[in-house]
Amino acid sequence: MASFRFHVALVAAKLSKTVIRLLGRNGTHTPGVIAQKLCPDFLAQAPKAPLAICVTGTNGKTTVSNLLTDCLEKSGKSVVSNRTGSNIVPGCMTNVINSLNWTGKCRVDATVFEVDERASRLILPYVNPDYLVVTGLFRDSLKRNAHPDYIFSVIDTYCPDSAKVILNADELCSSMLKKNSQRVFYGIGAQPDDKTEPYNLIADYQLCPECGTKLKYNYLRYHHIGDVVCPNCGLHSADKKYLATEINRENMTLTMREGDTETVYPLIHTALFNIYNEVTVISALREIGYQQEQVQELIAQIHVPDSRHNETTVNGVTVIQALSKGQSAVSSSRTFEYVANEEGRKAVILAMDDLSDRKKSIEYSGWIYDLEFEQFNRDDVVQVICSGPRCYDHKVRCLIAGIPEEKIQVNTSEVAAADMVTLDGVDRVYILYDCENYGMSCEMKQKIIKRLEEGK
Amino acid sequence: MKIEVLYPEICTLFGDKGNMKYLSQCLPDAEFVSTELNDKPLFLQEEVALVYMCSMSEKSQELILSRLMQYKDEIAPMLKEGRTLFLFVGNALELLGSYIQREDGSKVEGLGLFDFYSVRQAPNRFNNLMKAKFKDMTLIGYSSRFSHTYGISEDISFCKTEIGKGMNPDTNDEGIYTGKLIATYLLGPLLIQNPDFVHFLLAELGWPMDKIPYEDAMREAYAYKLKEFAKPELELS
Repeated sequence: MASFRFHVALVAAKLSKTVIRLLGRNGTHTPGVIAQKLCPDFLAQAPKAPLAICVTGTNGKTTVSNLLTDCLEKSGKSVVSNRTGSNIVPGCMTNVINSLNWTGKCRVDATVFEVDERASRLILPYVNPDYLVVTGLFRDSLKRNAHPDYIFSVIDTYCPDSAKVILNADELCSSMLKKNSQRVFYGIGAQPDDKTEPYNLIADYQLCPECGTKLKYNYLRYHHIGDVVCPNCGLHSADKKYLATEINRENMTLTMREGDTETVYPLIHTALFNIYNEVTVISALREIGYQQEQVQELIAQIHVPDSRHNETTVNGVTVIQALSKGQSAVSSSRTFEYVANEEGRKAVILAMDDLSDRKKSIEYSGWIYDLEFEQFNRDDVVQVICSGPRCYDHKVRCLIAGIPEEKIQVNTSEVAAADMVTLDGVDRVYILYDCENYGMSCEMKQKIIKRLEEGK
Repeated sequence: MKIEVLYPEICTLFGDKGNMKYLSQCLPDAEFVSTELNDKPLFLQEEVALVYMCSMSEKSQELILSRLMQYKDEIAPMLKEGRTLFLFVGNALELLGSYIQREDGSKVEGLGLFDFYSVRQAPNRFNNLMKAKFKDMTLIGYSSRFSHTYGISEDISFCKTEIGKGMNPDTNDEGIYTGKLIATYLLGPLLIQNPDFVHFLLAELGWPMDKIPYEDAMREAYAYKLKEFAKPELELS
C-alpha cells in the first residue's frame, strides 16, 4: 500500500503539471522532479499499469518506443509514454504520474517507458517492467556512457529477472543480456548486400566474448551487426524467434518468419536502421499477444516520427531534416551512408554539436574519427557545410576523409550556415542535426525554404 | 618504416583510430601493421619504429594483460633500448604499472614495468578537459576514465596540466615520458588536435616535415579550441 508521503508527492506533482500546462509548457520533467524530492521511493510505491514496457538501447529506442506506443493506442488501449519528455528518472517518473489518477490508482491499460541505458539502474528495478525491449548496444558518448561493456553491466545488473527480455540477436553484446531471464530474440536474416568481414571504421565485438578468438560472420550488416560464430569455442548468435527474411523496398513489404509461418507486413521506411526498429516493434507486439493480422493492420497505420526525419520540396529542391545523433558514431554513420546513397546532387549541413557543452565547456570531438565522413567523399555530394563550435574540427575530419577543400565550408553558427548552401544545381539539401538541435534545425530549414521560394 | 597498432579490434574505443589514419597520410610509405589479440607483438620479433596502443574497456584491459604477461620480460628491455617509440594513450598506460585495483578491492597484476598502480571507481566517471605543457608546446585534449593512477614520479611525467587534472585529482603531472615511451591518459585524436606534437613525433621517428598535411586547418581548429579554454567558469567534465 502506498504511503501518505507518496500521495502528497503525487498530488503536488499533478498540481505542478496543471500549473506548467497553464503556462503553455508540456510539463514532462518538473512533476517528476517534485515527486522524487517529496517521495524518493515514488517509483517503487507507484501502482503498475496492467502492461509495462521499457525500451532501451543505444540507438533506436525513441523510434521504437514511439512506434510501439502508436500501435498500442491504435489497438484501442489507453497508453502513457514519455515520448515528449526525458528518458531519465524525472521523465520516467512523470510518465508514472500521468498513468495515475489523483487518488493514486492506475488509469491506463499500458505504460511505455523509453529508458536511457545508463539511467536504467535507477529506473528498471522500480518500474519492474513486464517486458524489456533492447535495440542494441554500441559506442555512444564516452562522457556519459563510457563504453558498451559498461552499459551492458548496468542493464544486466539492474533489470529485474522477472522481466521478459526482447533482444536483437544480430547485436552480440546486448543479446547476451539477462541469461537467466526469459528471453526472445529477433533479427534480420541474410540479405543480398551483406558482407562477411567488418568494413566500417568501427566494429566492436569482433572477438569472442568467451575465448577471445576472432569471430566469423555468417553475415555482417554494418559495424558489428550480423550473425556470428566463434570458430574456436562454437559460441554463436542466438536463434531468432522473429526473423525478417525478405525486405522488398519496391513493394514496401517486410516478410517475417515465426516458426513455420511467414507473414508479410508493410515496410514503414527503407533505411536499414529503421527496418531494425520495425522488426523490433513487430516482435514486441507479437510477444505481448497481438495476432499477426492485428500487427499487420497496426503497422500499416504508423510512420517514423517527424522529429527524426522529414522533408519538404520547393521548386524542385528537397530539404531534409535527418537526425544524426552527436557523439554517436554508429548511428550517425548509418545516417551518413543513407544520405550519401540517396539519388541526386546533395548539399549537407552538419549541425551535430552538443547544445550544453558549447555554453560552458568544450565538446569532445574525438568521436568524429569513428564517424564515416568518407561517405561524403563522392562526386554527387557537392557541398559539406560544417556548422557549430566544432566546425573547424569537422573540417579537418572532412579533409582527412579526402573531401576536397573547395567543397567544405565552416560557420560557428548553425543558423547562419543555412545561408551558405549553394542551391543552384542541388537536388537535395540535408540538415543533419543532433536530437537537442531539432529546434535549431527547423530554423535552418525555414531559412533554406524561404530562399528557395524567393528563388535565391 | 613499420608502425604497429596493438589490438585495434578492442583498443580504439574513443576515436583513437584517427591518429593512425592521419599518420598514414603523413607517412604514405610507412607500413602499418595491426596485431591481433592472440598474436605475438611484432615489435618483439623485428624492428618497429612506432608501437601504438589506445583506449579500451576495463574488461579488455584484463584480456590484454592475460595475453601480454607471457612477454613481460621481453618488453622491459625494449623500453630501455630506446630504438622503438611507444605511444600509449587512454587507459592503455595502466597496463604498464604494478597492478590495477578493481572496485571490489581485488587486483589485476600489471606488466610491472613501472611502480605505479591504478584504482578503478566505476560507476564514477572522471571526465577531464586538459591543457598542458609538454616541452615548449601547449597540448590540448581530453581524458575520460573510471580510474586514477598513483605513484608516477614527477621526473618521468609526460606533461604538466595548466587546466584540468593529471593522473589523479591530486596532481597536475600527467602521463609518462621516459626514453622513447610516451604514455598519457589523453585520448582520441591527440595528434590531429595538436599539430606541434605531430611535428615532435615525426622528428622522433626520424621523418621531420616542414609542413604536415592539413596543417593550416589543424592550426585553425587548435587556435579556436585554445581560445575556448579561456571561457569563464569553464566546466572541465
